Amino acid sequence: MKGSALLFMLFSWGLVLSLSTYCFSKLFAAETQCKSKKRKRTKKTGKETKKKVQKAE
Amino acid sequence: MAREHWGTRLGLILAMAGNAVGLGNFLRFPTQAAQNGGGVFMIPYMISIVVIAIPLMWTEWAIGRYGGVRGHGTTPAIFKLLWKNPIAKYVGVLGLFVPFVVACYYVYIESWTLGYAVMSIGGMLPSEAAAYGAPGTAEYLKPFQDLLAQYTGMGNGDIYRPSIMAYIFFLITIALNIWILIKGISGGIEKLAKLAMPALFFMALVLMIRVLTLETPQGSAVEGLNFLWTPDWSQLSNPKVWLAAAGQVFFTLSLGFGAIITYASYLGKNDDLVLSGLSAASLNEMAEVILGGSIAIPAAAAFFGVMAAQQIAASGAFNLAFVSLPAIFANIPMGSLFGFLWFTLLFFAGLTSSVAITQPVIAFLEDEFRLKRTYAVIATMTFLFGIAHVPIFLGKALDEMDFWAGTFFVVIFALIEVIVFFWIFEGKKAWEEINRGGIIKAPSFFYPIIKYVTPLFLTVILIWWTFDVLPAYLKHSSWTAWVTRELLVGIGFFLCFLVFLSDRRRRSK
Repeated sequence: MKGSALLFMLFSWGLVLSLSTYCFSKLFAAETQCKSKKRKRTKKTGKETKKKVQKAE
Repeated sequence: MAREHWGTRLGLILAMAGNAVGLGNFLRFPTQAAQNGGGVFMIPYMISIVVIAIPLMWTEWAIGRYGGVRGHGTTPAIFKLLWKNPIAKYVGVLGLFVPFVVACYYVYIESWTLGYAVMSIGGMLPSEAAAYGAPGTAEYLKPFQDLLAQYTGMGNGDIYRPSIMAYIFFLITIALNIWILIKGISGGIEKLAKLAMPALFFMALVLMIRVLTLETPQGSAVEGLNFLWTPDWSQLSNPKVWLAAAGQVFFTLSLGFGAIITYASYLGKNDDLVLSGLSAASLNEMAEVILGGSIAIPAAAAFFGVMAAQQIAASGAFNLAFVSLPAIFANIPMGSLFGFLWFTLLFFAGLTSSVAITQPVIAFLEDEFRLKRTYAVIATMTFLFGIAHVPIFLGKALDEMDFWAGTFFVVIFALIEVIVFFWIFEGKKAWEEINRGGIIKAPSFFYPIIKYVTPLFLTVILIWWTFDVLPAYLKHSSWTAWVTRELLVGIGFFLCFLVFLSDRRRRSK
């Protein structure tokens, strides 16, 4: 392939691929954070209900 | 009646990407790039993405979410919320008019891809023997051109006579669209996107690998890539190249169609839109720049040689999709399978877009008239089915509808969106609306871009079209073109009447 054509093609592909990688890694990180927060919350509420039940007993 | 919501963020992103990825990604982009300076086309293309596409996309997402939270998914009602003026709701009619008119002919073209996919796998396309032995490219492509002319019935006359097969596949496509739309946002459109988008990328990747390994006595795919990507620096100072690039990014992301607004109206109040919007756009760009640029033109160059590929690219997207590519696949091992993959890929791209552009009118009937989804879908699709007969049977009606609704009014509507949101509703409030709930914040340099540069750029495109393209276009008007224009005016008035009724209904309540 010609040097200039290859350069333009790789430049364009690189831009698009790096944008996609950036976006989806950020999304993945946000999803993981969200899930771990949810888990913590369910653990907390679970412990609180246990305590309440124990107190009531 | 509670409004629907997207099931997952990934589903929303895939649905938005499905809306954007259409036939244009695989057909329009490579022909535009080839005709406008090759590799150098990417410079105005990338600049247009930053100056037009991303700002408009965030604007549409934010307008949609703002309206959705307040119970409205279409622009007649949302513009009324943003702009306290009695004409706002009628200006917003463009957000129904544009997607509906485009859907009326888009579904028909989509049905060709389904028909051709079935013909490919069923071995009903012209055979190898018929294609071989012909001396030049034109003779070689003739059986495929004849098939397309016979299938669509599109000849030189004013009235087209499509084949029964074309009409049957049109009915099947309409039925399929109805079936998906009736199932709703999460149960229909989102499920379709989750299935169709990965399948589309997989098929495109298989085709890309096959095309890039194609080598014939006439040439190779690498020569096609050379032809597509070699920069012609003299074209960089040509304003037409810049306008072509701006037009391409505009259409590739389906901006100004109203569909993004309606899809975004099913977001929650604090759902992210900055990163989700960028992600959907990045998927669209992958489909366009990487996959779209590596299939059609390189295949044509490999099979017919670079000179012929230039002529094929200039002959338009339909010729590339329905004549040149089937002719190539018919003459390679397992060609019927690759032909099937090619048309199924186009069909999936078309289907995910057609449900998106039909959704605004459905959402309007649901939100403003409180119609049940099933009735709203049936009413919209019955209307669409009726109007679709005009481009099916009336000569040049398809081009006419595409010119006005799919080209001219999208730019006008996009300009109105930016003005209403960033100038009338107020820039700072609009900027806050864009950034609310964002996983990432939109870089602050985009604020002046959206407020000043984007409307300026759109105005320049509009002026160019009005003074350069429009007069030349109007010169060659036949009676069928005038009938289509009257029909378009009629559709516009009918939608305005519906908006008037919905407003009166709300006031009386």
